[in-house]
Amino acid sequence: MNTILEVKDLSVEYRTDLETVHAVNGISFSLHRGQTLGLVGETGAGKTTTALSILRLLPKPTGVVTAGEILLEGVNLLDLSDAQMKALLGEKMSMIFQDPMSALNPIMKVGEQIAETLILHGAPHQTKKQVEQRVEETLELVGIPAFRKNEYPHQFSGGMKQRVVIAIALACQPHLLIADEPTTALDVTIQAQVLAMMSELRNKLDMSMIMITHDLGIVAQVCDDVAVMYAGEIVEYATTEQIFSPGAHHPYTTGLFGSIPDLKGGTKRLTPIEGLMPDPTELPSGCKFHPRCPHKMAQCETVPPPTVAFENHLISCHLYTGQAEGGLK
Amino acid sequence: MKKDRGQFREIWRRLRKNRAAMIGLSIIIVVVLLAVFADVIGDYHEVALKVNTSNKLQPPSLSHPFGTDIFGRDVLARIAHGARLSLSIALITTLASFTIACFFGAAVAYWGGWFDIIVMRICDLFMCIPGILLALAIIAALGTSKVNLIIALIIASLPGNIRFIRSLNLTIIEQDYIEAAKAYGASDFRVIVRHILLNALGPIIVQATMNIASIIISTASLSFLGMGVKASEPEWGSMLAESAEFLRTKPFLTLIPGAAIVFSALAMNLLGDGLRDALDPRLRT
Repeated sequence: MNTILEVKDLSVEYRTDLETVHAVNGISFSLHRGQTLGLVGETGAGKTTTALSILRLLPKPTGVVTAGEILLEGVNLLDLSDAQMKALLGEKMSMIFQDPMSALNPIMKVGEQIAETLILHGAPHQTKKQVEQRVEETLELVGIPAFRKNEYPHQFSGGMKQRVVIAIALACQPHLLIADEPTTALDVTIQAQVLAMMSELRNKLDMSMIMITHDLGIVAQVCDDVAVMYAGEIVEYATTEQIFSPGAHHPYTTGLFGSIPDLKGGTKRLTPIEGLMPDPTELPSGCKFHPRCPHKMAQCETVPPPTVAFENHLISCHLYTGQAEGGLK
Repeated sequence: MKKDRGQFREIWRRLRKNRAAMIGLSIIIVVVLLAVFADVIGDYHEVALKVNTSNKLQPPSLSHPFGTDIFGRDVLARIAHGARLSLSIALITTLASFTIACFFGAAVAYWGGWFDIIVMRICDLFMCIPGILLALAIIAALGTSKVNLIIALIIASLPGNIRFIRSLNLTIIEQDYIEAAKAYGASDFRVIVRHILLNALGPIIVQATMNIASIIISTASLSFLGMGVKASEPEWGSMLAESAEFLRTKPFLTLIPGAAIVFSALAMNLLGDGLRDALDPRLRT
């Protein structure tokens, strides 16, 4: 399997005159062709920031990548010029935004919006007819009849809008698709449809996908690997199967699972994680989860936890020190 | 937008239902017709300019529907040529001012930072001075001529327009579709023109219509003060100034150019208000 995206030790800060927000703190992960990685975590865990820094769309001038590398097919995106980056965006990687209601330009026909990507990245001598044909193909790919290309976004329902957004992202058949909570704004039945369609298209087009979500159900449905993020760090990295199997887990992951209802068990009450995410301007020392952790030990407050590897299952927690088969990483 | 006739028809349908806007539009059409057919009504040099004192201060008659002024010139012909002058000055000024304002307003809103701060502080500086006073000062420095008048009016209206377009664009830039356009690799220029400015077009058109009204008034005021066009030229403001001394004896001489100024400015404002309602998507049914 070849690696399409590799993020190494990425740190991102938002700097203003008053404070510095440590949004992402040294995360690393890699993604293989045709695979889906789920980025899971609470609001404010740094999921969207990670996505925006991969696309280099961090708000300027506050958002700054302070360390790390982002390699897309071996090229460090952080070294590229703005023009080179613009050429990559939409062609090799695209993003789907959370809210389809506001992600479409209200005064452009949906067909024109899909065509815009094609014109920006397509072959220089493509004819108008070829573009039109490609627009129609892309629309049908996402299950919208081609004749609707001449309609405006307000003529579409929410689910259909999200399909259009996906069509725009897929128009140039990118290698990497980043989906930032693509179904949060949709109702449950449409969610299932859109997710099924996304998985199908991923297989059809042999794309890789990063699925940002806080919904573990979505993770189970579409992801191959999962990275659980907390306070800008990846606290646990495993395959979807490992995450959902019992065994060693980061206490935060356990807490996440305790926060969702289980159909089989006779749980009367959910056990949410106590407390709130730490203030990202003043992160706690040691393990960032220690103020909320039920298994807190003395060293947690001072020593940053090691990353323990159980084969390819990585957990950053003092609980498992010395237990790993592969030793400390 | 030009490809879609349905959109325009829809706006026209809503505009037609607005009686005030329709009255405004009718007045504007009359003024435009006066301007277009000014030469048919009376030749510029022979009728509107040439002094003929034997014919002075005639009351309205068949040959001079609005009478003649102190120099014996036909008032209707002068009003018609004045319409041509006022409308062309107002249109050129508004077009130029809004083109420049769109460019600067969008650029400062999009890039922000130091560029924004510098441009906006310069605008603040100019906005401290009342527009008409600023125009007066510029004309005093450059000398009276049509071109200088237009330059002065552009400079005087520019800061407000830049500020207006900047604030309009700031709200549009917040929208997700701007971020989305960047995420599929649209260039800055493309984002600004296709995604930001086109979305701001409705309010810009409304504001431009209103701006035409205020330029008509400014042109007349400056000419009234003798700082607009050349004194002999048939300008509504200078006609008002010339006839002011006969206000008691020949009131229609002042009333007619006064009415021309008031009604064309009012008509533009009525149309602008109507357009605002017709273009506002929140009122769409």
